[in-house]
Amino acid sequence: MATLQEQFNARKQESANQINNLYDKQLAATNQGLKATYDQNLSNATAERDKIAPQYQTQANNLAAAYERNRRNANLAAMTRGLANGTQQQAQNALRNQYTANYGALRGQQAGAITEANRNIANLQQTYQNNLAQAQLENENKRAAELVKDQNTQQDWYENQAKTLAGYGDFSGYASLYGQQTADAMRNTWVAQNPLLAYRTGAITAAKYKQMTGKDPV
Amino acid sequence: MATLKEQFEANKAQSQGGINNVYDTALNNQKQGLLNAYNQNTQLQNQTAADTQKLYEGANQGLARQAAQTQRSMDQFADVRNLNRQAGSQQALSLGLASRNAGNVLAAQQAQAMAEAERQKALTTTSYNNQVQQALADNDYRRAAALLDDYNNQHARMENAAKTLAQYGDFSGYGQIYGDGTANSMRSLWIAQNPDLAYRTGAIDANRYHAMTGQWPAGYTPPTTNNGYYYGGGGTDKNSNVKITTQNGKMRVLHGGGSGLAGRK
Repeated sequence: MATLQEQFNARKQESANQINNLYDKQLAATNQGLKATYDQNLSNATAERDKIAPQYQTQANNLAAAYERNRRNANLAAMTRGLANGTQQQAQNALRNQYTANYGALRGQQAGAITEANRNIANLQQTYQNNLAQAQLENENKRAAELVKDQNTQQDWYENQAKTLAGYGDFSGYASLYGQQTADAMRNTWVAQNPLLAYRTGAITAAKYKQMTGKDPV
Repeated sequence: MATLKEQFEANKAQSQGGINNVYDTALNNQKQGLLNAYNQNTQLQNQTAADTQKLYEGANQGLARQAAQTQRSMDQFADVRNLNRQAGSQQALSLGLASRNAGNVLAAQQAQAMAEAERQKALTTTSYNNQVQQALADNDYRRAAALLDDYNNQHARMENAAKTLAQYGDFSGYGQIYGDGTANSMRSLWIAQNPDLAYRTGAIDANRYHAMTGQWPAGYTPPTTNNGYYYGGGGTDKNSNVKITTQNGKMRVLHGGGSGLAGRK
């Protein structure tokens, strides 16, 4: 049979393990919830980002088509109206330069939009990582407080067990708490308080009982 | 054997060592969690910055391709229309300028995007450092509170232990808390309240018991004088049916139901 001290040590370890398991599970569940939310948000954000390039490609195609159409119209108008080559060329240049500027601006907008989308995705991940760290911070704080509280609970248990045992004349618990010499003195007092009980439980002999009480035990 | 005070100090040291271990572990885990987040965030931000760089490079290349394509179509147009070399050069120059302007706009946007990426990275680093400082301060505060609680708990335990010991007539615990003078007074009171117990546990001798109660302790055979008289002022001798009592502080030995001082064993 394990002594009270051994039981106390085993209980402390077991209890600390249980607390750690509990908080490990709680952290895992929290992290799982955060990951599920993050995965969903990431999926949505990625889908939105992936729409950007095709949208801008459509705009670029429209831009090119409009330029080509304008260029032909301008050529046709020039031929119809018999404009000189120089004038016609000026008009064509203006169209081309405008198209180039528009094209550059469009691609710039596209790059900006994708960069912004990437930044949103990075923010999502950053928020997710910060939430994980925050969850760990809170978990560790609660876990530490619980472990410290448990240390007291186990010590209370130990002292209560010693008190309970002492109520039945067993001072081994107090011996491990306060030392054998103190426990022996406590036991002597208990015997003096309860001579009949002490005699009946074999803690003292009949002679000792008589010496203490002046009477023979019943 | 260690005194209660020494046990208190030992328990406190052990308990506070345990608390420090708990909070050290918590802090290490917290710092590791923050570092993991920081590393992940930094890695992602570097990737985002690299992606941004590539995006604008791609846009610039697209612009260059578009300009080249336009130039080719212009050259074909010039051939068809038999434009002179000077006119063709003017066209190319004009397009080159337009392309360069568009490229400059893109470069400015790229620079802005890259600066923003750097700003985000710097923010992440600042935020990480702040979080670590916050975790340290929070840990210190919680640890200090736990250690203070523990000190009070250990002290309460010592007081409880002293109270428990006192119930068994051992006032050494109170002696270490309140001083020996106070503990001795408490012990004297306890003896006065529990003379039988005090006698049985050896806290007082029979004479003291007799002085306190006027009787000899049960089971105690009082000593006799040389002439056979009992000392003291209390107790009962069953064998001879002699009763010993005190009256006004003087011993009286009684035979059976009689009176007088004639007792002899």
